[in-house]
Amino acid sequence: MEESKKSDNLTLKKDTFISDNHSYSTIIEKESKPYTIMIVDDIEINLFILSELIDSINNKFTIIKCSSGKEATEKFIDTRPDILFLDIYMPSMNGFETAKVIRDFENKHELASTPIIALTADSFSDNDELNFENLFNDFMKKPIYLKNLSDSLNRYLF
Amino acid sequence: MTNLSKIYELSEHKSNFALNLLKRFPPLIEMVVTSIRLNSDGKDLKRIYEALHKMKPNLDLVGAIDIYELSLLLENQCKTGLIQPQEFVIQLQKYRHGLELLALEISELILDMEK
Repeated sequence: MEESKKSDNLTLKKDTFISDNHSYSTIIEKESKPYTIMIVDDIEINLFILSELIDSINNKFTIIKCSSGKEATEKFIDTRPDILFLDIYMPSMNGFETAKVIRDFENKHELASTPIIALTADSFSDNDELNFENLFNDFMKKPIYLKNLSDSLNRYLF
Repeated sequence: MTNLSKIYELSEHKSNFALNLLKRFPPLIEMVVTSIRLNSDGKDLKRIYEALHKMKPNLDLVGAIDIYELSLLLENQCKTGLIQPQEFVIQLQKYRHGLELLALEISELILDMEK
């Protein structure tokens, strides 16, 4: 899938802007490294929405798009993103299996835990929540809106 | 059938974003319709559930409430296995027909927006 590399020497700073009668606490500029955000979904429309929203928050972020769990695990090892948005319901290798591979990799190599945000069309069931706590930092229900995404980035990245 | 208010909300009223988002609906709908058609006998509940589940948030997004509610009903039936086969097949057919109409409507909306 497409990878869009953005420029280095990014400056970010906390700011608030008003959009469509909503106040979004978001990050515009702040002295920091250029963040790399991985998004994983087997449906192209969902990748498009997420990448456009991330781009609207800060167009200097590097966005790595993956259309499968397998692709995500391979690219995760190569790119070590700062945060990962991971669809739960994917064929072949679902979000739980993908997150498990990533957590195992981090544990094996004694790496810091990367924030992983689960993307789901449903609320979690009780059974899912047991797995969820060990693998994911949070979840977002689809469709994803700018406010949810912005809040999530503020909470886990900045 | 559609209500684009959520699309505009999501796209922050950027018409180019909204248009590019809408352009991605017909291929997704076609994929789901094909999957439903291939499983129109209503027997492979796993495949049907997968197709319904993938389409569901996007039906919500495009404001296709009737099909969205039908998809919730069908998805629940797939999950629980509580299915009356004949009725399920009819509802599945109705869902597929609704998606086909939705694809046509979205295609027209795209043409209007491009004018």
